[in-house]
Amino acid sequence: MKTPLWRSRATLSLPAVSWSKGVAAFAALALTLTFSACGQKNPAAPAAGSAASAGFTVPPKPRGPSNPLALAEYKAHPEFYVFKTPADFAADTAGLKWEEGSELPVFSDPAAKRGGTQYAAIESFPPTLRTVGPDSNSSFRTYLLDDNEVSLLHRHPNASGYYPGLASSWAVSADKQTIYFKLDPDARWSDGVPVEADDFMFMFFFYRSPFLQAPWYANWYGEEYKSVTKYDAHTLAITLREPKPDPVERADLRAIPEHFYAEFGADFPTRYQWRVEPTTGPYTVAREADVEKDRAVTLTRIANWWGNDKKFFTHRFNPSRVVFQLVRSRDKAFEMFKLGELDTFNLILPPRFWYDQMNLPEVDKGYISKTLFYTYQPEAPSGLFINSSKPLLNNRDIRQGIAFASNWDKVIQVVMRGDARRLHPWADSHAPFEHPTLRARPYDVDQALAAFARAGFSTRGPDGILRNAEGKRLSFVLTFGSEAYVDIPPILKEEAAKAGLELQIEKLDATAAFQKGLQKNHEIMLSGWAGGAEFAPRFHEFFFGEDATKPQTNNFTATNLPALDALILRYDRSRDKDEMVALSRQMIQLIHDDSAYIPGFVQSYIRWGAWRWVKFPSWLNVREAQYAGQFGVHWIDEDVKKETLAARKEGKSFGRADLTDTKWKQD
Amino acid sequence: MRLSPETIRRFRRFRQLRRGWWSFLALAALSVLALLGELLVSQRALVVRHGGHWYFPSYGAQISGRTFGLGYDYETNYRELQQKFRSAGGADFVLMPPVPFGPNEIDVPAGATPTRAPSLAERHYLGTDTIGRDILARLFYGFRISLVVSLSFLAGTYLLGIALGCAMGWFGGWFDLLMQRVIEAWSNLPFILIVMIISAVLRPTVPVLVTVFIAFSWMGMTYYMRSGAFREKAREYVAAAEVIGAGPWRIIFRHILPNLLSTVITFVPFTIAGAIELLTALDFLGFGIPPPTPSWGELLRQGTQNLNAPWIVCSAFGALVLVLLLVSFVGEAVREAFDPKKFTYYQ
Repeated sequence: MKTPLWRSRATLSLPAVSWSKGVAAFAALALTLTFSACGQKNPAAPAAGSAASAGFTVPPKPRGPSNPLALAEYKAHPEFYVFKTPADFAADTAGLKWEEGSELPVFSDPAAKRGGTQYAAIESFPPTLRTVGPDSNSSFRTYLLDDNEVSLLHRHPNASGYYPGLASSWAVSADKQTIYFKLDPDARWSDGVPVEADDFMFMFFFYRSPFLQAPWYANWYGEEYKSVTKYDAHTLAITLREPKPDPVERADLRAIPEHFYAEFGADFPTRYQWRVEPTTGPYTVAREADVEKDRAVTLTRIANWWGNDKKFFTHRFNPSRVVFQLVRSRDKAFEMFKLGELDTFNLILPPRFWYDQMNLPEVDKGYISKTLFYTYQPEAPSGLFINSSKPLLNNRDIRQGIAFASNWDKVIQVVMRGDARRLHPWADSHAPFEHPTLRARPYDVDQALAAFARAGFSTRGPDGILRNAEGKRLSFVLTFGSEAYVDIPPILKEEAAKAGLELQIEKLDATAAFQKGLQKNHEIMLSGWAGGAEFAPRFHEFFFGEDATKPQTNNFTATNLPALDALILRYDRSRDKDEMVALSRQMIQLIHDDSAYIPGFVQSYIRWGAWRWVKFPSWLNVREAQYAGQFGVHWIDEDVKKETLAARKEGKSFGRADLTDTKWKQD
Repeated sequence: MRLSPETIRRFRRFRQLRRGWWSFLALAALSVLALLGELLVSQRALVVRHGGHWYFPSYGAQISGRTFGLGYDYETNYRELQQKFRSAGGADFVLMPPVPFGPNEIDVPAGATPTRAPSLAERHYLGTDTIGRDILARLFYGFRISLVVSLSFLAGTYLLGIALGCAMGWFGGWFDLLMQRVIEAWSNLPFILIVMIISAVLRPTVPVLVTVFIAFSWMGMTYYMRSGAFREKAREYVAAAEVIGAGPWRIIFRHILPNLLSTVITFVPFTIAGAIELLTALDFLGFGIPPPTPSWGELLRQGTQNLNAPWIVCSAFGALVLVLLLVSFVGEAVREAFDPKKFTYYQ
C-alpha cells in the first residue's frame, strides 16, 4: 500500500513529494492544513465515550451488525465486493503454493526487555487522531498507523520476501492477479474484537467512500484493485486490476474495524476527529487523558497484544508507554535530549547536530551514544527535472550542458558536509533493475561549455553568461518548493555561472511548486519523490510520452521519446523478471542520454543519538530503517537508566560508546 | 519651491538636536558607503597589475581567468590570483577591497565547515552563514537593497498619498466621499497575507515587491493630507491664488503642500523604518525577495534556526537594531524640530 505520508524524519534522500500522482499535492495541502490548525484549541470536542470504544480495558465486544451504507454498497457493486463459500475457496486455491514467510530470519533481539517508558518529541500537535481524511496526514500518523498497524503481511525489512501479519498464510494465483489469504485466528482489534474478512470488505468500502474527503484513497483502491472476495470469516482474496510480476506487494493491506464505524457517514471527519480507532498494532491511545491538547500524546502498549508471541512481532515494540511531547523547535528538543528528558534524537539532518553539537561531556562519558547506521533500499529519484518541452530546453545538448554545469559535489560538500553521494541515473539501489555501471554526469565546466557550444551558445557576455548568435542569454528559471531545499539552489547557481549558465531561482510555496510541475509550466524543477521499497522501479509514470503535454501527470521532464515509450509498454506488460531487468537497464541508458532528469544526491544511512538506557540489538537496526525506532527493535532498560542517572550525578564515566554499522553500506 | 523662513528655522533646530543630527549623518554616511559597495565589499579586486597592464575589475564586464594566465574561462578568482602573484614574487599584484568576498560567493575550503565563526585571518569579519557566504558582505548588500526598497516605497506611497489626499481635501464633495469609501475598503485587505500569496505563486522581484507594498500602503498618508488641505483651503492666500487664476494642481502643489510639509517630513523616518521592518519580516518568513539575494530577514531566519552559530543571529540582529535606532533618533529629532508648538504664528 502506498499512502501519502510526510514522515517527520524520512530524510534518507532529499525531502520528498510522493510517487503517485496527486499524492504529493494532497500531502502538501494536508501539511498546510496541519500547520494552520496547530494553534487551534480543541477543534472538535471529543465525542462522549470515545475512549471507551477504543481502550483495551474494555472487555471484548461482539462485532455488531454491519454498517447499512456498506451493505448497500456491496449490493450495488457485486463485481467488486464478491461473496463466495468455503467450498469455492478450496476450488479457487487448488494447487496453489501457500506461503507464510517461515524461511525468513527474525530481526528482533530475544534479549529485549519489555516495559519502561520512552520519551519522544513531536514538532507539531496532531490536528486529529483520525488516520485518514482532512488534516490526518501529520507526522504523528506514523506512530498511530504507518509504523504501528499490522497489515495482512509485511515486507521483510532485511531480506526480500514477506512475513505474515493479519494473514497467517497466503497464495498467489497462477495468473498473478489474485492473492488468497488465511487470516490469523488470533488477530484482535485493541478492543478485543476479532479481525475478520468483513473488516477487509469494509476497508475497501471505507477507502472508496467520498465521506473521507480524501480522493487519493478512492482513486488508489478503485484503480489498483479489481475485487475483494470473502469466503468465510477467516479466508478472503484480493484481485488486482492488472497482473503484476510481484502481486504480493499490493497486498500489504490493513483492515478497518467495521464495528467502530457504525456511525460512518457524511460527517465522518468531524464525528471521528478525536476518536481513537481500534488498532491491530501494539500501541494505542488508551485513555482520553492521554491526549493533552497542545502538550503531549501518550501511547500505551496493549496488554496481552495478540502479536506478542508471533514470530516476527515478538521482542519488538518493547516500551510499555511512549510519551510524545510537543516541542516545536528542534533546538529545544536537542537541549531536552541533552538533559535526558528525551531518550533519542534523530541526527540525520541538519548535519550540524551530528558534527558540531554532539561534542558533549555526556557523549565522552558514554551516557549518550552516537550511532551511524547505513541502510539499503531503492532510492527515490530527486534532483533537477528539466522541462524538455520548453524552448532551448528541448535541445538535448543544452540539457546535457546543464547536467555538466550542476555541481552536486559542492552541494554535498557544503550542505551535507560530504555525507552523501550522487544519485545514479535512475532506479538507484534497486537491484537488480539498476544500471550496473552508468553514473550521473559529473560537474565539468569544459564539457558543459562544449555541450552549450554545440547548441550555438559559445560567446560569453559581459556578465559571463553565454549568448548565441541572436544574442539570447543562456538563462533558465530554477523552481523549488520545499523549505528543506533552500540552501541548494544558491550553490547550483554560483557554480553554473562558471559554465556560462544563469539559473534564476524561484522559491514557491510547496503546493504551488508541485502544481507548476504537474502543469509543465516550469523550466527546471528541483524536486524529490518519496519512494519506498517496491518490486520494480517505475518508468511509465515519469517518462511516458503521452503524459508529456498533459497536465496533472508526473512526467515533469515532459519526456516524449518513441523509443522509450516502446520499452515502457513492453516493461509494463512483462511478467518475466529477467526481461524486465534488461528493459529497465536499456531505459535507464535512454533516460541518461536524454538528460532531462539530473540526479541529485542521496544519504544512504540514518544517524541517531541515544541515552545509554535505550538498548538496540547487536545488529542495531534493519536494512530498510528510516529512523531508529521505526521497526520497534529497541527497548528501554530502566535499571540502566537508574545506573546512568546515578553515574551522571557522580560524574562517573563509562567510556565513549559511538557505533558505526556498515554491513549494508554500498560504494 | 522656496522654503519658508519657518521651515528653514526648523531645519536649523534639527541640526541643534545632537542625537538626531549625528544619527542622520551616520545614516547618510552608511548610505553613501552602500552606494560605493563594490569598492569596499566584493570578490572582485580593486586593482590588478599583470604583465605591465593595469586592470580595475570592480565595475564593468567580468574578466576571464585566462586574461591572467589562469586555466579557466570564467570570472577570475582574485583572492587566488593574489596568492599566486604573492608566491611568485615579481611586480604583479592584486589589491583586494577590505572585505574580499561577494554576497553570493560560497567560500568553503576543502575540509572546512560551511558555518565558520568570525575570523580576522580568514577575513570573514562577521563569520560565514550556513552555506559559507560572508555575513558582512550579505549584511552590506542587504542594507543596500533595504535602502532602495524603503526609498522607493517612500516615494511611491507619498506621491500617491499626498496627491490623492490633497485632491480629496481640495475638491471635496462626491470625489472625497467616494475616495474615502475606497480607502476604507482597501485598508481592510489583509496586506501581509496578500503579499504572502503573491510571493508564494510568483517570483517576487524587487520592483514587484515594492509595487505591492505601495499598492497597500498609500492610504495612511491621505488622511493627513486631506485634513490639511481642507484646513488650508479656507486660508486667504489660497483665495488670493484663486483670484489670480491659479488652477487646482498649481494651488495644491505650489501653495498648499509647502504648508503641509512639516506633517509629511515628520512621517518620513518612520515610513523608512517601517519599510525596512516589513521587508525584513517578509524575508524572515520566506516570502520576500527570492534567494540568493542578500537580505537581513533571511539572515535572521538562518540565525534563529542555527543558534549554535550565534554570530549569524547577532550580526543580523545588531545591524537591524542599529539602523532602526538611527532612523528612530532622526525621526524623534525631526518631530521635535517640526513641533508646531514652538513655531506657531497667529495672524
